[in-house]
Amino acid sequence: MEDSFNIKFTRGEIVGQWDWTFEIPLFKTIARIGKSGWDRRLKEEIEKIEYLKKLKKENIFFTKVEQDSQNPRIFYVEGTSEENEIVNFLIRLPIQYPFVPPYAEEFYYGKYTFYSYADSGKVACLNQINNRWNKEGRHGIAHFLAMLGYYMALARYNVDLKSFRKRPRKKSK
Amino acid sequence: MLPLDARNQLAVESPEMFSRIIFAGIDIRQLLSKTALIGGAGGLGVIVGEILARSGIGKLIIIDRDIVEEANLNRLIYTREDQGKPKAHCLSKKLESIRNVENIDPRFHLKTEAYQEDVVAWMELEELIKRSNIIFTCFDNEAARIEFNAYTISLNKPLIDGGTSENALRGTIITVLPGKTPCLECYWSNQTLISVDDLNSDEKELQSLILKVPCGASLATMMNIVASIQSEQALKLLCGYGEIVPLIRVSLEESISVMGAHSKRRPGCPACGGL
Repeated sequence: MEDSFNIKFTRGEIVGQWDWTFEIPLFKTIARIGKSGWDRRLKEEIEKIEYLKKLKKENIFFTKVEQDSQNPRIFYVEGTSEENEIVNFLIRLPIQYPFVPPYAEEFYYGKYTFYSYADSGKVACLNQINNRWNKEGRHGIAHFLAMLGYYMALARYNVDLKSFRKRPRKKSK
Repeated sequence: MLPLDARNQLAVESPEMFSRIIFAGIDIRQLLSKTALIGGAGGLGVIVGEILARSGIGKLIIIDRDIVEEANLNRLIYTREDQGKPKAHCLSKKLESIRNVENIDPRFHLKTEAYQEDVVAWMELEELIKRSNIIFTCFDNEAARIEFNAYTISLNKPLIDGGTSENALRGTIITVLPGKTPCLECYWSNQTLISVDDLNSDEKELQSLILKVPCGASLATMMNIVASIQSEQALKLLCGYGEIVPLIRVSLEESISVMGAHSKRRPGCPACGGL
C-alpha cells in the first residue's frame, strides 16, 4: 500500500481521496509556544482551522476546535462520524510545537480506538504524521486534523495499516 | 564517599536495611534529604524507583499516564493484582511498603507522590520539577522527554534520561547538566534551523548513535542495565563522587558492550543554547 500525500486508495476500485493537507496553505508565522510571535501564530492557527472547515471535504469530521481556557497548549476537538457518532478528544501541543506535530489523546472513531502512540489494540498514527510533518514549523493544528482525518478514513474503509487492530467489543451478557 | 571510619558509626545509627549501602561508602543522610522525580513508571522507571527507594532516597515523585496492562507484566515489580490500576500509584505503594514499616524509624521512611497524568502540556509539571533535586525520564516517547528537558534547563536541574532501541537490545543513557553537558534537544532537535552540516564529524557520528525510535519491544535484561546506570549516575550526582559521563551506550546485540562518550553541547541548541 502506498502511503503518501494526496493519494487515491484503491481496493480494486477507487474508494476515496482523503488527504486534504495539501489544500491548507502553509503557515507564515513560525513561533514556539509562549515565545515572541506566538499570539500571531495562534491567530493564524484559528484562521487555518476555519479554512479547513470551509473546504467541506469528506472526512473533515470536526465541527468545533476550542482552546482550553486555563491551558493554552490544550485544544478540544469535537465532531461527528459518518455514522453520526459524536467524536471528541483533546490534542496537546508539545513544547517543540510547531516543529513537531501535536498529538491526540485516545479517542473512539467507529469501531476503532485511535491513539497517537503505539499501543495494543489501538490505531497509532503519530509516527506516520510525524514523517509527513513540515519540520520548518509551517504545518499547524489544521494540517494535523487533516492528516488525522486521512487515517480515520483508512480505518473506516478497513485499509490495512501497520499496527491496525479492531477495538475489542465488550461481550454482551 | 564516606571515609572508612565514618561508615561503621553511620551504619550503627541507621536502620539495618541501609548498612550495606553505607559500607559501600554512600552517605544515606545526603540521600534522605533529596527528592527524585521519575517520569514514566514503565520498564525503566520501576527499576530506577526501586533502586533509589532501597538506597535511601528521601522522596519520590512518580508520574505516569498509563494503567498496568497484561503487556506490562514482562517488566519487574508489577503483578497480576495490579492490572487495571494506575502505574504511578501502584509503584509508589510498593516502594513505600519496602521502607515504611514499624521497625524503621520514621525519619528513614520514604515519602512518595504519584500522579496519573500526561506530562505534555501539563501545567503542574514545572512546579514538581522545581521541588525535585534530580529528574529521571524513563518514557517511551520523545515528546514527554523534550517537555522535561525544557523545564529542567530553565530550572537548572540535572536530568538523567534512559531509552532502549526498538529491538530492546540497545540502550542509551543521557545525563543532562544544564549548561555543562548536551541537553536532549542537542541530540534530537527536529528543527531544520540547525543543519547537520554545522556539526563536526564527531558530533555527526554521535547523533547517528542516538536512539530516537520509541521502544516497541521491551526486555527486562536491557531495561535493568539502563535503569541501573541511570540510578548510578544519580547516586554520583546526589552524593558528589565520581565522574559524570554525558552519554553512555549499551549494546547486548551479538556481544556485550558499554561505551561512554564525552559529547559536546550543540551550538545554537533551541533549548540550552542560551545558557
